Amino acid sequence: MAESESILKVRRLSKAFGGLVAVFDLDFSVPRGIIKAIIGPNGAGKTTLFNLISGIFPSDTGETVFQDRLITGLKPYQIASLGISRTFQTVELFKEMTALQNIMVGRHVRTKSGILSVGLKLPGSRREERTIREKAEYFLDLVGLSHRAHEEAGSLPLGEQKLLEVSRALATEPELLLLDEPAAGLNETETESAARLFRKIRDQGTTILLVEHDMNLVMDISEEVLVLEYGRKIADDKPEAVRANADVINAYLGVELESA
Amino acid sequence: MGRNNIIGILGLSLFILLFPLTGRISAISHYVDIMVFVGLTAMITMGLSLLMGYAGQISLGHAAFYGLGAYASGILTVKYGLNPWLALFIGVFLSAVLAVVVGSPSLKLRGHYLAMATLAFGEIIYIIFNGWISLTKGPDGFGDIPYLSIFGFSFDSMLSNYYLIWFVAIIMLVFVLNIIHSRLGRALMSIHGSELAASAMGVNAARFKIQVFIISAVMASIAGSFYAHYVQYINPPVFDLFFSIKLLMMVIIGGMSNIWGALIGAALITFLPEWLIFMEDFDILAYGLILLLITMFLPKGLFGLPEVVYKLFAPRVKASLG
Repeated sequence: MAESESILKVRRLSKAFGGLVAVFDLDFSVPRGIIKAIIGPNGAGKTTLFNLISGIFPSDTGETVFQDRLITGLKPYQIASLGISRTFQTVELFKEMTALQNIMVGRHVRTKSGILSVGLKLPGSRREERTIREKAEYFLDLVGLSHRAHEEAGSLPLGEQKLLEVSRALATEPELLLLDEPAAGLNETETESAARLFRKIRDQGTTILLVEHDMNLVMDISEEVLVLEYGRKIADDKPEAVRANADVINAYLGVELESA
Repeated sequence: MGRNNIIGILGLSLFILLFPLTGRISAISHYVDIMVFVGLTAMITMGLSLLMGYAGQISLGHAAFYGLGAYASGILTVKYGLNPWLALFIGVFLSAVLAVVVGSPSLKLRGHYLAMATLAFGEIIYIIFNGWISLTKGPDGFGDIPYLSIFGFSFDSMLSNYYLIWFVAIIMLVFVLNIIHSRLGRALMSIHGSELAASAMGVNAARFKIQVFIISAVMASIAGSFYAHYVQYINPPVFDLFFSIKLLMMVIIGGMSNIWGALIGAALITFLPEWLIFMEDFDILAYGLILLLITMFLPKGLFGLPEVVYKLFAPRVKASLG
């Protein structure tokens, strides 16, 4: 079977909360192997879109196709097991578990020992537990947090919590990674190292879709940029083209770029 | 499962091994008999603690699963002459099936629907024990249940039952600790931490809640079978709602989020009537008072006592030293 060009296709997707239209009649696709950014003013529907793709909210109309498979209507845990992982705008770590344990939860979808097998410590589950730990250590090291392995996740500084969330999402070995404002709250150095990390993730074959307000980061790392305003698409193009797009400048970018 | 737990298991095993020596002290010579019931009760509370502390669900029907095991063993061995171990497994199977029937609809929903469903389930089972007289002999109770035996060895003494029941209870403890320190235990903890993030990591919360509920029901059923063969007589009041509530109390008093707490709670509440004989029918007041004090001052239960004491006194000790 030929690999499809787009890893994710969103068709005519809409979602309203009461009278408020958060996403309206949205069409776009994400080519495999790139970093694509979603930008737009606050309330443009970016986070709602993530929640629709990852199954946290059901959509009103429209459909989402992931790797040629319709995922509309699936539950979040089913979508996660198909290969979409994500981070959250407001960090959603398992605060009372250690950093390493958080990532070990990320291995959940890649493991399968049942309750009897782990309760009786059958050889299969022992082997699996060892692999979970080794992989978790690898992904913790990937974001440079090995020294925090046994600290409670909730006690880490925000920058490290964000990295830990990325690491936990990566531990599921996703085909598509959704990052919701990964640079919010990070300082300049942290943002630069995050950018390096995201490129590395992409180079290892994971497609990234990210929502981000930091325009420098977006223009720096993305191959494509989708611009939303009031839940509608106003541009979907290469970063240079988006930068020059009059609608985008009107809606959002003008001020930012002048000041940059 | 961590060094502390291994030390704990070894310590507990040693304690259980040596405890019957107290039988030589005449004032407390009957404590070994009470410890048999602590062992049986602990089998139930350990499963319940997994359900409450890790899956965040409450069951008001565990006395019924205990009763199902007991009646399955009693009826199948006496009326139908089945091998007691086979009868035990049939009880386990029956409890597991009923746990699925009662648990799946309510555990797919968020909130405390399981508590309500199990409350109704417990009442229905209790009514059946009382009312289906041709099968259970109703309020008269069901007697002449044989002792367990294995390879020709009959567990016909208190002491042999004591060791058998605690052997099984400790195996269950290891089983539950293994679950906690596995992908399933972490998945359950992650649901507690953030159900949103857990689902985004592929954790199917409903599925694990049901599995834990089944395991806890099966553990209660096994305890019931051992109870029936030890006491040799069963009657409905043992398996009523009040016992279900007492089981919850044990778990809360011991400390919900720790399996060792379930053992402490089972021991304390099982021994309590012994120490409260002077209060006669008012001993229920003592239960209420203990529960009240624990929830007010020891949110982590008795298991959290050392931590609370340390926090209370450490600053003062430091101050007096400094």
